[in-house]
Amino acid sequence: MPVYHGTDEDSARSILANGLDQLAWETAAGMAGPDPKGFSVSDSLDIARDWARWRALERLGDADRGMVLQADPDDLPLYQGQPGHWTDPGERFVRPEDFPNVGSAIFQAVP
Amino acid sequence: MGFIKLNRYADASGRTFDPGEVVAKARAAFSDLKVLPTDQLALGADRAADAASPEHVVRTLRRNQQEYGPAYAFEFDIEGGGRIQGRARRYDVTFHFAVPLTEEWRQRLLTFLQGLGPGRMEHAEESLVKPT
Repeated sequence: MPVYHGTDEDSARSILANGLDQLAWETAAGMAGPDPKGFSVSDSLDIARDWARWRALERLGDADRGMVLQADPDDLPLYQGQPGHWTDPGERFVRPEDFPNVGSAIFQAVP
Repeated sequence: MGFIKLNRYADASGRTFDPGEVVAKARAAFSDLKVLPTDQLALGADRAADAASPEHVVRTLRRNQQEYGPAYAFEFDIEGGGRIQGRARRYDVTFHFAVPLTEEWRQRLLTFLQGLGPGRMEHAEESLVKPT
């Protein structure tokens, strides 16, 4: 089963082209800042679609400009939530220090 | 484009920042500093709620606000053009810049962050040399 990440289309294209990048992650998050635990993925496509719509509305002003990406969890250095690193149900994350290990070929766009 | 961050997330010491205190220190260190009027994490959660986003999205944003906030944002101009944006949260203090920094300004920002105490110093900057 793949894991999913929903975001705005500009961020999605950056991830497809370059993989995970801490500068792009910081910049896209704006003045609220990114989730410090890392880059989140969900087991649920529906949850990812909801996040794609919110991030697109928040960052681009148009909820329809969201995209969902998918990846094989075996290709990602994923961590589970634990005390001090809370997560939603079905959520796992890639720590920022592991971003260089997630290159451009890992994620694909969900049609 | 780049950033410099002092990060205490997952720090074994358990130390955190007081964002209000960090902003007060920034105000003293950088002239003409403007502070954005509200907690940026709260603002995001409020906007999501106002936009009738799904309940789980709003709940996660509220939880981020409680866990990582408040997030106070500020900005100031630098000589020669350009602007630096700052953000102070419970676990990190970050400066963002859209133009390449002079060595003098890079040192000023590092000195400010080092003056806040221990933490991991992180930085990244867009290369000016593009691959051909």
